[in-house]
Amino acid sequence: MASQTSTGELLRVSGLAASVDEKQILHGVDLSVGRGETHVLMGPNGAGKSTLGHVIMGDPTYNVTQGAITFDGQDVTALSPDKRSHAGMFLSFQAPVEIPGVPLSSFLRAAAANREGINLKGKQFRKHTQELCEELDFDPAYLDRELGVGFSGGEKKKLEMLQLLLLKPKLAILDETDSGLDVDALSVVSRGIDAYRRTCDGTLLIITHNTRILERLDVDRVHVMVKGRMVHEGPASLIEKIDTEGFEQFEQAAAAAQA
Amino acid sequence: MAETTQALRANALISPTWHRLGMNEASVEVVDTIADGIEILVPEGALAAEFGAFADTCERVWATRPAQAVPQKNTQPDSELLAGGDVNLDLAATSPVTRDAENPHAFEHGMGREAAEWMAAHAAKTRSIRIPEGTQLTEPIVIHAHGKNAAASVASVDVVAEAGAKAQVLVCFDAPEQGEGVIGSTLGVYAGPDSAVDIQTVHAATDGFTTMDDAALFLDTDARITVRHTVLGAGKSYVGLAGNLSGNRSDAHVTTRYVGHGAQALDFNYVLRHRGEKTTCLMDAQGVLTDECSKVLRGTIDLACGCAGAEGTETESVVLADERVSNKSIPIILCSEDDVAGNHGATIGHMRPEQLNYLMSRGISQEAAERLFATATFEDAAITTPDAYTRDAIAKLAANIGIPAQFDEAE
Amino acid sequence: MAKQHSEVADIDRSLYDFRYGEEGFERLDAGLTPEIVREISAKKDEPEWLLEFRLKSLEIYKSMQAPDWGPSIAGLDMDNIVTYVKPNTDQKNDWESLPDDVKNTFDRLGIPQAERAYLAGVGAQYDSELVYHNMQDTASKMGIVYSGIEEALHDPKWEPLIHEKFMTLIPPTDHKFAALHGAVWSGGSFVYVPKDTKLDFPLQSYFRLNAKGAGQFEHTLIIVEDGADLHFIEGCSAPKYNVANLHAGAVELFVGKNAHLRYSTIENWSKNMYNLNTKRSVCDEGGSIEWVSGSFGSHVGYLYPMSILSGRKSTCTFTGITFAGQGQDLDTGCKVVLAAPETSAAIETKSISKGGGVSTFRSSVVATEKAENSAASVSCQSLMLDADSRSDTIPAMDIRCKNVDVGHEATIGRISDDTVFYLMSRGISEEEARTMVVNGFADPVSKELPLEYAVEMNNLIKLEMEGAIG
Repeated sequence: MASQTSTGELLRVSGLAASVDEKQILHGVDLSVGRGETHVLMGPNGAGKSTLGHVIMGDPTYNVTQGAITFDGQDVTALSPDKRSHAGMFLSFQAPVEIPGVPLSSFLRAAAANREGINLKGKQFRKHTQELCEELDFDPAYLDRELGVGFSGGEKKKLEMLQLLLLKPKLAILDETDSGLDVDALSVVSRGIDAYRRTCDGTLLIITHNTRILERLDVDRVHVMVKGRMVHEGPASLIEKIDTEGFEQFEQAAAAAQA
Repeated sequence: MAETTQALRANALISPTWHRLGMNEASVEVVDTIADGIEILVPEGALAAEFGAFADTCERVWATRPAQAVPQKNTQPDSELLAGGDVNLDLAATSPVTRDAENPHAFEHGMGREAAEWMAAHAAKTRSIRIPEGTQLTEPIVIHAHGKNAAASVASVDVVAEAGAKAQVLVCFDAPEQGEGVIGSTLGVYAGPDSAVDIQTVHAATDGFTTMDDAALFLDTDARITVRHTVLGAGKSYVGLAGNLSGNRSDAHVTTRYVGHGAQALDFNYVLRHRGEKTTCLMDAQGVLTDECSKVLRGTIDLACGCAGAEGTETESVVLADERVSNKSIPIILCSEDDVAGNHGATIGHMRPEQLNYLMSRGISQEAAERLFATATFEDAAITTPDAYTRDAIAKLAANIGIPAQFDEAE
Repeated sequence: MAKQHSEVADIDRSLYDFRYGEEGFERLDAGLTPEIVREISAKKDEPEWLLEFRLKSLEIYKSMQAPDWGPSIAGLDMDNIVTYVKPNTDQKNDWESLPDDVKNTFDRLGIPQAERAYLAGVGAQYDSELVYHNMQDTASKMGIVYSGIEEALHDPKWEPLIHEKFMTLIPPTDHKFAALHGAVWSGGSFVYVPKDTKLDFPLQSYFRLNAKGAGQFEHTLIIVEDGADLHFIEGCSAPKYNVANLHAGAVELFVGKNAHLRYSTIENWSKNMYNLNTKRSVCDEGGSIEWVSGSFGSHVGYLYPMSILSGRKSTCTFTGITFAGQGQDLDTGCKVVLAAPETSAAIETKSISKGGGVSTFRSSVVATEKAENSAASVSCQSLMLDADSRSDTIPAMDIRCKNVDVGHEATIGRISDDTVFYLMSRGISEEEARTMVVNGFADPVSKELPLEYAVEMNNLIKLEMEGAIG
């Protein structure tokens, strides 16, 4: 595929293959996301959507065996995740980790350190994060709590959106595979996406298999994955089709193609 | 006891601690006279093997895994220092644990070399049994060790379960006649690739007797060994089990159940060495101590260098049901590999509050609940064993010491 | 505490590792003989009972075996250890009067600054002798005594009390190095807090061993009377030499009825130190002892603060962390004896191993026949930062009483890959990510320390973590 190579291409994944414990999970995946666009990555359970998000961000759990990831004109395939983050990439986690003993505020400071545009010191930084908390209806008292420890599902989601707004990445990959099931989480994510687009005109790649999260979004392209392969790509109207017909047609097509 | 007795060092810790705690090792009084109170039933499908089959098989397989015999290189040998060498400040000092790690063995006996060698030398019956590749025994290998007055009645059995084999070993220690003496068995069990071996021992002897329950295990790739030790009766009970989880993904699951009563002394030593990758173990001990009995439980999980992905878990709960009991526990985790998980949890003292609350809400007092624990352990042991003789021995012992357990008639 | 500490990121490796000469110092011959012991005693102009005690202790030392269950001390040659080094000064109560080298040492360690900022009193020992002792007037007006123990021994008012208590909690027969301590001890502090007296600010003793190939054997004796309250802080450090140094101090703490004592230590001996230290406390009815203990230094460490809960409803808590890096075998933990009804103990420890270091958590919890309705909980967590290192957990429990509850839990593992990836995906470098997790792991201990010490501890961790990646 990759016909859509606009001059403003921000992310290009080409021929990406990845494995874990010698088991191949991604098979030659191609994906192109233009600057300022909103893309959706859909597919049935186990299609490898979350894996693709993690591999794009450089999760060392997965071995990239073939292909390349280019971001903002730079080949990032071999970069460590922190370098990718500083390059402007962001991945929201379905389940952020818990780190006992590390206050959320300390973690946010470390994450925001040495970045252009968020050069806030001391009290300014705290004020800024508190404002972002309010924007997300996230109790600022959580800033002094241990990272992720005892957070509910909704609070964890807010934690991820808070970082999205704080770090203002060029590309936000939102792994929302499970969020569609939870009304509260859905509203947190929507709020976060709104604020993100409003404040930094960013680029989005939303991973989901549920279409409700997309109802209020102006989607540019939709990509469909099945069994570790990119099997279809189309305009926003594809969402409605998937909503009514599900992924069956793609799964059948994929099975036929592999047979 | 008889004229010739001696004390054997047994159940020693790899990682000793303060001597005054009295947990580092046990001393077993034994009598040298050999008496034949041993019956060994070998079922159809199991074959006789060469004498020493267990050791030979372990050594042969172990020789194919030289990487597991290579220890860490982070300590400075004492010999260098004692020879007048300077302290190397980049290397750590040795300790009993690191010195032990320097000399990994293909197998070791839970009760220790001295006790195991004595048992082998004083065995009234010795068997070497091979379960050929793929053979799934439908009947257990059964060892009945009956106490004989003023003598040692000991069995020595090797079991080599070849690839894909399945076997069960049942051991019962009892004392049909009154007297004083030693009843024991020493087992060497090799579990080949994908094999499954279940071992159950039941101590149902009377107060005059000392039981010695020793085992050495070797687990090959994907092997699974389950063990159940039930200690209900004997004046002194020594249980020692050591396992080498050498094969990748091998799994050992050891369950211990005991009731201590009268002036009984119970002494356990478990050592499971994780050497293969992704090996798993669970040690689960539960018991109740009544009257003026004493118990020592040593449990060691050794997560050796190279056992990446291994997980070892040890749990213990003890109900102390009398003011006079003595309970010693030392649950040890040794670790020289980073990609592992080792866990241990113990509750000692009362029953768990939620258990007790539940029972009390049904009108059972705390004392009755504690008695219930003892009774239930006997009943559970009888239900669990597939061996009718063992079931009778448990029932006889219960009647003997006044445990009001109810047993179903043997089928 | 020192200014250098205010910025966490800024670590000065020379913070602890600097040394001065011994010009004008008195150094006794190396080795252990009755003559050396007599000489130490004579220099101190001691009461006769103490000389006899020393000589008796030396005999006990000679007759006892070294421990065979812990880290090897084969590298410690007692014939080469100098047991007594007297600095070229008497004890002062103002920093300016000290010789420059000594003053500079404590300046660099930030002790005078800390004293001004938040301490009620400070004692500073350099090699074998106290060189500084001072306490705020407000504290002395409350009747609190904080002085050198030898100074107090020469005071007829305190000599009988010290004689009564000295080495009764840690008798020379307890173990070989307790006997050694009894024979050659020198320096240390004496604290007496009268009934119902509560000191709002901590007292601190700092022990500095500057001399090469020497031993430090200070004795700390603290008596907190009924209803009184004290926080005592102990710090120690030494420059690194390529020969063995020895520390065999002893700490004896007597906690009265309903009294409270918190004893905090950050141990940062240099990595050529054999730290064979003994600390012990006894609590009367309703009394409580809290230990906060950070162990970072030493080549070999044996350290198990012991709490004897001999009074009804007395309590102890122990919060400890041990960080064993390259070349270190640190055997640490604690001992608790529940020896009265309704006592309780809570133990929480963390240990970290890295770069070939060996960390052992060793404990004993003993409940005697008298301990009915008592409870103890032990929780120990170990973190392995690489596969070159070692972390062992050896907890012993001996319960001889029906109505007690003893709980124990231990976990061992490493920093999960998921955690590191999460932090890195937010732009944090791998080294920083790991340091952050380790600091979080240590947090339950650091939050029990005064702020300045918590910062110092985080710095030590950061220092130890440097170069942890590749």
